[in-house]
Amino acid sequence: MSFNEINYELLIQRDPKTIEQLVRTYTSHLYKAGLGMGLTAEESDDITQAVWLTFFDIVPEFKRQSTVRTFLFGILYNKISEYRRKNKKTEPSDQIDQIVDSYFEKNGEWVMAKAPISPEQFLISTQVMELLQKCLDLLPIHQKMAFIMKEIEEAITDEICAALEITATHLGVVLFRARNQLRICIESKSR
Amino acid sequence: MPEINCEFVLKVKVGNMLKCKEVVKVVSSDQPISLKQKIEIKMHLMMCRHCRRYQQQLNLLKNGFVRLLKLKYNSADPQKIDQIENKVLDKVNKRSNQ
Repeated sequence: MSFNEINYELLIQRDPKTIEQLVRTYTSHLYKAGLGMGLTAEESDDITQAVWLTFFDIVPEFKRQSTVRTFLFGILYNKISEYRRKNKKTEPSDQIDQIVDSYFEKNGEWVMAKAPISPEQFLISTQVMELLQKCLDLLPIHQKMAFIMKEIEEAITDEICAALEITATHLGVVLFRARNQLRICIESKSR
Repeated sequence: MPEINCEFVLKVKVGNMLKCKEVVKVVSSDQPISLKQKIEIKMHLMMCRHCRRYQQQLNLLKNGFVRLLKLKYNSADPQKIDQIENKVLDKVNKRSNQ
């Protein structure tokens, strides 16, 4: 839903029907995405409410080009980051670039002992939900968010970049890190 | 007519091939690539079993996580979502009336 599809003027005037339509459409997205990001039901409930309050506070200043979803997910991302910082949950350190490097010889070919295992072997591990959850928990928030928006919400590059406030090139780096981190995590449990 | 040394041609082509590390980078970062790069990557994947496996793994990875997250999403209690919507509407409307 873009801002063109809802009546922006009515939203600014806080028309109750317009507000209700928005809240009924997007609350489940936000709440579920919160769960996907590793929040508990309680945390996701609180943060979803906080996202909406912020949304209605700042919506008059917002550029209309964006979609509602992008705008909401951008706020969600900020709220979760803020919440994690406050609770001093240490963010996993991001050393994946060096780790990926260690999988390759100087000439750019795979180190034999670390070459990817067969898809059949790999598949078995990807069916263990506890393992996937453990691996997902290792990702920093922005990687998790980018991965979820890309693969689950099926958002386009522009939307993900707008929500995370990064460039398309940087999104490439973020996805590279997320996918390699997850792949290595799963593979290390399957060898 | 000069004879063409097939082995030599093959070696030159292989020599110019993308390195595995570059293929991994392109495949996992979703960056827009040129047609030339696309062909080079296809060629590489045809000849390199490791990178082929890498690409297959990324697909399995995606499927696995989509399944995990869908399971999580489906476990969300619809009643709870209703309650959140009502709480939000209540708060927002209270603020509007102030």
